[in-house]
Amino acid sequence: MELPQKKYYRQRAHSNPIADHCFEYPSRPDDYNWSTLFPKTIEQEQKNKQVEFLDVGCGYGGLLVTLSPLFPNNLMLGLEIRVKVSDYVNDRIQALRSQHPDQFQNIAVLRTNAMKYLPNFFHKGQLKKMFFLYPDPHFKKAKHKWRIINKWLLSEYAYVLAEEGIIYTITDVKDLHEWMVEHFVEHPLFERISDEELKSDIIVDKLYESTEEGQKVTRNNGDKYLAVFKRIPDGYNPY
Amino acid sequence: MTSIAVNKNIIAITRGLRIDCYDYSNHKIIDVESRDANDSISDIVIASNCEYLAIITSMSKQLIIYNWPTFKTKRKYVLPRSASKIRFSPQSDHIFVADKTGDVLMYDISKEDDGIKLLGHLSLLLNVLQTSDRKFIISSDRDEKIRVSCYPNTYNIHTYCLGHTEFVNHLEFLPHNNKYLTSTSGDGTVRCWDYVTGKMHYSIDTFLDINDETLKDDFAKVMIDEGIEVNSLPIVHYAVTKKDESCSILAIAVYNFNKILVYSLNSDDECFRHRLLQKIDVEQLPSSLALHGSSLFVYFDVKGTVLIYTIKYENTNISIELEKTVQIFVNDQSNGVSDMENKQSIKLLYKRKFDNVQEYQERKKQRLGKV
Ligand SMILES: C[S@@+](CC[C@H](N)C(=O)[O-])C[C@H]1O[C@@H](n2cnc3c(N)ncnc32)[C@H](O)[C@@H]1O
Repeated sequence: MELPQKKYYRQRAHSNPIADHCFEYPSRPDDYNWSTLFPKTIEQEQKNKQVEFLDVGCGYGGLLVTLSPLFPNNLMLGLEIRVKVSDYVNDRIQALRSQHPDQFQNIAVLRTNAMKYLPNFFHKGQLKKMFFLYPDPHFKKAKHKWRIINKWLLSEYAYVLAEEGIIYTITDVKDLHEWMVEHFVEHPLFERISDEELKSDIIVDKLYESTEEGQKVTRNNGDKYLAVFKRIPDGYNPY
Repeated sequence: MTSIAVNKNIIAITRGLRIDCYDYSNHKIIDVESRDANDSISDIVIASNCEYLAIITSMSKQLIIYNWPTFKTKRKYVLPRSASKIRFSPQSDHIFVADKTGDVLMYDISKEDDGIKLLGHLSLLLNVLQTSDRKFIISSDRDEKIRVSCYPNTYNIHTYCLGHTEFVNHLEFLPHNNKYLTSTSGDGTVRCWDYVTGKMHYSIDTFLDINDETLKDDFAKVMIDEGIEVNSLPIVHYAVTKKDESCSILAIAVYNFNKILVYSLNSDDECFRHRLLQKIDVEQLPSSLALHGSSLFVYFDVKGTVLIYTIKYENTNISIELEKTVQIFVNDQSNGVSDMENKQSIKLLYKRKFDNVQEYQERKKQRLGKV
């Protein structure tokens, strides 16, 4: 099987995440047949294995492909709202699996709206890592509600993420970077991880260049702003 | 959306911008002011301490709290957005608003401020409820979800109660054991949950008692013309009351079904059982239902009547009898809500299907065929 050509899968950049779309989704995580996404791992090896890394708005899937060999024992899923783009990632993974038997079995893509349906797919505290790489900036103030990071969505991300779990963000838009940092820092369930601590994290290096958007920013000599956060326990004590 | 609220002393019914408060001897009419000709009251509640009555309006977005029994306005707030549902806190000191952009707001009724936003869904909200120990806020939406958030730390989502396959319009605690939450949905089921674990313990499918495929097909046909695919008759009205320490009574109205379903729901420990007690024939879909003690109230706004039934318990036998009919809004010319309007409002709770995936896949198949 050959790798897909991107030219057949291009699509208008933004789709409205608030409007109704036609998605298939389970009413509960256990109702989903995960072995369709990870046939080899789930059918032949570990029946109860669950997704632990989530790339939200994965675009053309560069991060998944990069991380796949580095974390062979973790299932990773990309979520992408656009039909053609998610289909590209799927064709790409299928082709990689056919060219390299026994590899790329731990990555998959799902077309869905990550702003609406995370609790349909993931249990509380199931995820270990979440990625928001070069998310759509939605510059205009009226469109800020379309941004994938906001106060209320952070509560939902905190719900699916395990305590000590990590959220990685990177963007070339300074204003969006500041917006994301502000929202995470203000949220009682997240804490920013210092640059010092990040030095030992092998993932951090991969965030700059492994995705298509990251490569584009490099070509255009754009800036890159990284911010990484940890899910902390709720410090609220009623007594 | 509810247009009737009852407590031990009064029945309060709304139509258009009017409230008729009937204390079983006199009618007191309250007119809500609005500049908007198409405005109407969209929800009414009575506080459990019986001191307040509250309403919201659809167009002018007012939230008005009246003292009871003087009917003097205690507070008037203007909501930022159109709301679906209001509820008092268990202590009757706060009011929760579930709005159509997905926000839950809370107003302290001793204050005249703009309230605070407690949480947000990315979906139209249909109901909200606080647990009696005040530890959780439960909210339900058009996207089949029931969310259980911690309170006052509402940024912490405790769990979801997942399983409904259409919008979730009503939330009530199980009256005889408020450890459990009950919910109703466009999927035609009533479900019973442990809201602390999110686990579903019981489900009643009303269609098994309706058993009318033609009715369902007719509804499906009407909806498909709107681009909406439905597989069940939605529950529209729902009310609950306690019978005794192990049993509650549920009253349910299902869209286009001219009978009210009345069930008993028993639970011993974690073991649930339900029984259909009666299907009460009605001329049309009621505008609202309420249960209080052993009385069932069925309101028809077009005719301006409230039928009051009494639930009689004799040993294991439960019967339901029409006790009396109350005429309301007697000299009022304003109209009730038509079938047309009912259809319009139910439509908004469903998601339209447009399949852009299939079309794409077909074009792709052609492209690959050519190569
Ligand atoms: C600017 S791109 C970045 C893609 C990728 N992360 C990269 O670095 O190349 C943002 C992506 O997020 C997707 N997206 C936006 N909102 C989304 C949502 N609510 N759910 C899933 N994907 C979404 C967009 O379709 C788009 O492909």
